[in-house]
Amino acid sequence: MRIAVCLKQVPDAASTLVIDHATMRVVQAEPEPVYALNPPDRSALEVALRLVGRHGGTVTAVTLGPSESEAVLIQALARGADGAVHLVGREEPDAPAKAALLSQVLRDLAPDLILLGDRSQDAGDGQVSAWLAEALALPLVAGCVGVKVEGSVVVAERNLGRGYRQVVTCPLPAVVAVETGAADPCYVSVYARSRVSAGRVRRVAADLRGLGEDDATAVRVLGVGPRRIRPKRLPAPDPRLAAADRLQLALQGGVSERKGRLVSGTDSDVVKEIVAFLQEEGILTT
Amino acid sequence: MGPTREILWNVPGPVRLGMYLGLFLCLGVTVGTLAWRLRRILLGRPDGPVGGIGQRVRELLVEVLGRGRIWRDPFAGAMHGAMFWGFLVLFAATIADALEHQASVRFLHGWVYRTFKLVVDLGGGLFMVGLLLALWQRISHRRRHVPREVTEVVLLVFLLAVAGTGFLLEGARIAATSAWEEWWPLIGWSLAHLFERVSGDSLPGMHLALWLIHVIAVGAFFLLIPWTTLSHLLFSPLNVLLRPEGPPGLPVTPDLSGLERPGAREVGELTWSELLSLEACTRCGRCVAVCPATAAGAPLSPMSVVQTLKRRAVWVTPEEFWACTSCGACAWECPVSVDPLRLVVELRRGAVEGGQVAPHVARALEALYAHGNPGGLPRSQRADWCRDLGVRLLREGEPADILYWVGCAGAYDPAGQSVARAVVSLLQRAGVSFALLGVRERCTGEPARRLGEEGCFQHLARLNIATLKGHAPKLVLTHCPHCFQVLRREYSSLGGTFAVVHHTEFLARLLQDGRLRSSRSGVDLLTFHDPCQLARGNGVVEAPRQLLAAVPGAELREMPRAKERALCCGGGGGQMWLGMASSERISLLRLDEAIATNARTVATACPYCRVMLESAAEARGAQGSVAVKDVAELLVEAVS
Ligand code: SF4
Ligand code: SF4
Repeated sequence: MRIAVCLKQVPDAASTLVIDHATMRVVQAEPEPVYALNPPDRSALEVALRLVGRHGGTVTAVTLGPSESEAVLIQALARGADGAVHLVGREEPDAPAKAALLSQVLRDLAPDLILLGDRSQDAGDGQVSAWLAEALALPLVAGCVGVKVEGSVVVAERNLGRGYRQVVTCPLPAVVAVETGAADPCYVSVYARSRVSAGRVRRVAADLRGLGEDDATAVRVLGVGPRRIRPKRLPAPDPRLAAADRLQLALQGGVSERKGRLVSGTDSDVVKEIVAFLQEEGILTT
Repeated sequence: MGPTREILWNVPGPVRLGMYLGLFLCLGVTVGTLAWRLRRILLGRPDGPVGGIGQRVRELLVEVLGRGRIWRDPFAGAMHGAMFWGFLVLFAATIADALEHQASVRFLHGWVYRTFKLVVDLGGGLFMVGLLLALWQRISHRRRHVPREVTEVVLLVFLLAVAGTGFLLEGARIAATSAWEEWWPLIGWSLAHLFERVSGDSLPGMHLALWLIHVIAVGAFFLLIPWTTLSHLLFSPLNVLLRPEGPPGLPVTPDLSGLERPGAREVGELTWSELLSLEACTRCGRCVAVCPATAAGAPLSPMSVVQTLKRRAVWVTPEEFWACTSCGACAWECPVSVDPLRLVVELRRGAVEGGQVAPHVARALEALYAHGNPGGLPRSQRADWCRDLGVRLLREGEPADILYWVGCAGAYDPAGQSVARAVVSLLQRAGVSFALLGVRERCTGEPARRLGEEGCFQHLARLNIATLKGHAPKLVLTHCPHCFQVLRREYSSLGGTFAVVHHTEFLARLLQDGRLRSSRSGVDLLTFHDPCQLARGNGVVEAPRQLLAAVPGAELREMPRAKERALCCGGGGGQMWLGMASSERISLLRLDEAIATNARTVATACPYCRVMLESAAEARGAQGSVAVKDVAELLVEAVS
């Protein structure tokens, strides 16, 4: 089975981001920019490698972006991908144009399965998978948290939200977009990355001019601004938490609190107290 | 010619010949086996330079002459001393006998012979006393850290039998030749009386039988050397002599540009010195007695890490090697210079290269690489803590006399920031001119290295070395013992040699020079918790005590385990990010030791120890009765 995985390099979520009003983009205000492999794409890579591990075949990683984004391909190769293609382009095109560029490479690779992350951590419009399926005239299964292959069909588990799951099948070849939870990524050591020779990456120039009228988009960015900040109350660290957790809490302001209250008394007292507790916590509203 | 004796009396010529042949055969087999072992050791990966042979020889002599690490445990010292000296005497006597017999150098007569016999006899006795002590501790299990192993017990009984038959032999000879005036081999002579009632005719036969048993036992002894703890006779001294340079617990710095991958996923991937250390381990259990993880009930035991690797059959489990806090107590305590911590780091490296790390550890490692701190906080915020302190931040290329290295805890963690602020305030008060790197400082890579991410460590180390070299600091000052250890000892193998000082040393100097004066304080009884990296790692134990002595009203009550023998706080070795339950239990064990001194303040000199002990105090509900403070924080209160 041949699998292609589309990967995207994104600004690291932990870096300080500011708006560059001239270009209407979000940029990093760090001593040096810090990038990461888009988390759901990383899961897509992991899913691909596990499928190949079970069924045999090859994984080719593809990325579109400036020269520094080659790091994600190096990471993929270090993790075990068999090949990598870098579509080198400076400008960040919009979703349909991205899909058109990617489709040129993917058409040549002719994979049985195309995996990619459901949405990117930076732009986050979640459209590329759909435009790509359209450009390649392939079926799309999006929002997947589990992917299996049985014979020539893919069996995917989709996340419907609120704890609901939907299981669908789809004949191969297909485009499957996964969420971050689809697979736990495996750690790739710095040493392993340093051992990958850059010569294993095939570089292709991304040429936007070759694209037809249809691929141009009608979407224009009017403005970029910070989201409305919802203040969050930080509880005083619970002394019963492990030191490691409390350090995390102090550093990041977010580890879920392990707390509980034991109620006792007659049945009706207990019920009353539980109801009161649920109302206090805003879980019960009536 | 005074008293002497015919050597190998009563032994017919052909039997003598057989003995010589047999013993030489046994010896040959043993030497061959040991040579094969040594060859296998030499097949290990390269290691750091040995260096300092003179120092090593001295170390070995100190150990041998009985003032070394073995004697830190007096029982073990006495037991080993008895066996060692007794064995040495017996060994020398055998050589002397053989010389006299074979080379016909006749010197054993007259008073020399008498003294010789007495000394050999007493040596044998001493040897047996040592064996009996060893046997007692293995069987009674009263000294809990000494493992109760059947093989060891059998070996000891066998050695007792070898020595015992030797004595019986001497007795039988005295009885058979009626040489009752030969009282000088005291024990042998006393045993001779056992044979008094045996009829004179059967005595020679009995003597010969005993002699045969003794010789066969000696042959078996030779053969057993490579296969039992006896092999330490060769490998332990070798290990002490050939340990690569550097203090215990210092991991080897592999050359990552070579083709090998770092770490060990099989024994063959260990370095030659690590392989040698496996052979050197005597299963004495000393490391187990001091290991905080073992004490806290983690599945880790440094001795079993060594022994598991030595057996080559099974592999050490991740639960074991992730529980280590890198406290270095095992390596510090081991009488034969085995370094279990080094092995733990090799095992972790193997796991990391295989991608086998827990998700939160992976996050910390990725954050270290991307953001230069294990918490994954933006580098742009690294200098936020000192914005309003009026400190000088270095611009690229600006030279610096004294560079204050803040470290990640000092930069991002509230408790660490409080320490860093105290240091800044003290330096400013003393009029010291110093500067900081600000956002250009990155984690030294210490957590990455202890967690086995050697590539990430070397990456950060190279960046930091380049940054530091750009300012050519005369002195690097830091309040974090982890940064201190790495900057001072571990960057040199990557080309960064700097003069590094811990804030306790620097502040003690300021006090001495009268540049800081303490006047008041709110503390009375306090105790000091020695950070592992400071005390054991770098031998800095007096400076913090000098500082505390300068705090008015403060009275230092030492914990039973202090200075180099201090128990770890549980926070080292990446435990902050591993989040293991055992690490928390270690901090409680240590806090309880501190509370037992009745001290109301626990002083320490490491931001990690401070966090660990403070949370332990909260978990014990003791935050009201004991305060955990860095010595700098105490001093700042005393001088203001
Ligand atoms: S370094 Fe400390 S925790 Fe680790 S094995 Fe040795 S004694 Fe135990
Ligand atoms: S490693 Fe050292 S201290 Fe530990 S059991 Fe072996 S010889 Fe003893």
